[in-house]
Amino acid sequence: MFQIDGPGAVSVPPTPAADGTPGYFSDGTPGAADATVVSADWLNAIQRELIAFLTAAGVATDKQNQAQVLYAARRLLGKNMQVFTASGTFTPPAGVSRVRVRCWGAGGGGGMAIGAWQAGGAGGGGGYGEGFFDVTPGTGVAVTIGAGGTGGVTGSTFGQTGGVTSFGSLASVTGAIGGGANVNLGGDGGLIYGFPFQVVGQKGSTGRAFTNVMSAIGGASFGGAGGVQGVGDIGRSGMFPGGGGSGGATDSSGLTSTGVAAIGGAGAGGCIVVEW
Amino acid sequence: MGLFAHLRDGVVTDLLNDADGPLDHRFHPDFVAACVAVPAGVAVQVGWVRGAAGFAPAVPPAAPASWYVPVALLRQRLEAAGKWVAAATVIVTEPATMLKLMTLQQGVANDDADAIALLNGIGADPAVMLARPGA
Repeated sequence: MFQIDGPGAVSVPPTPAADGTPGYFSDGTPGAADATVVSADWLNAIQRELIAFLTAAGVATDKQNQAQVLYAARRLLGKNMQVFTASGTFTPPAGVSRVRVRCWGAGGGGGMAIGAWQAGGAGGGGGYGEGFFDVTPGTGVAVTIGAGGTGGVTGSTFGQTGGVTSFGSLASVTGAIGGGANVNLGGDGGLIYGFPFQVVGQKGSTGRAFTNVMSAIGGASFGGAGGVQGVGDIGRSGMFPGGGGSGGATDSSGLTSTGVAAIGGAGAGGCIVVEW
Repeated sequence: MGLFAHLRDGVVTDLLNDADGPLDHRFHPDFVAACVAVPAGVAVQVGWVRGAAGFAPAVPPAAPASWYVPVALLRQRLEAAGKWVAAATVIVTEPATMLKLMTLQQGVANDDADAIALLNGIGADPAVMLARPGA
């Protein structure tokens, strides 16, 4: 893109003519109607529109580059980003009235295994939502980030559900459900409200008791893997963001192969990314 | 100000305090609709259930009533009790019992009637020999 610089170009923009009747270009009809005159007003308007677009994206005009509008469009979309891994407030800057929000719900914790040859259910993976939302410049939006569910422990053997993650009242994703204790069901993924694009978190797998019992795998989120599976092992934490914790698994001793209680793994926390 | 419980299938999945701001400013309306106020003085926790009688803790599973004792561990216990030779003498005269012990994958169940009879027959206490591993 470049600003006209050839013969006849002037340094001061001409005053536009008075508004006419909006219409369309025409090749005219020989002997009957003239073809449309491509006026300096119209060309200057197009030129200014394009340069304004490039300027907003911080792109200097380059006569040799014919892909600058495309480049500017890509720069303007997602030019700024704010990542929330803890609760806070998003305040839209001046001039920003629409934002893109991506949200990962928290994962559920894995269940504990009690007694010999047992396996706790795994926590579900957090749900994912994405969408564009209208906001008011200068008016804060409360951002809530859910913590991952804790794994089941002695006295509280079920894996806990992750906390809710929310972008104000515009959209929310609940935490995934924790896994049950002992050969029990894995937790479901979180529920998603308000986001036009939704990916449900994976359900945690169910604990199964056999010799050399394998622990239940945590549910994966859209981006965070579930806690890994082990033999006679404690449950492992889900990966950030939103992975579910795996369940604990015991051997014949009623403990893990290293002699500790087969507690469940923790779910990973949620996250929100705002772009404008 | 108060505490609210978010319910999913009757189970408390989240606890939210409106001291941090009104719920309808912080969460989607569909989420808020699934929240109920927690009565004052009730120490509800995530994972509790809410029924007609109100909130109540979920019932955790107990350790299984039956368990397995690995064959190697059972031998160690018999040796420690001075009953291994007596047990072996009985086992070699009962091919079916020997084969059973050789093919048990998980170990001897604490309520295995054959094992209890064998242990009683040699004067070994089944409650001790088949005690829960790690207990």
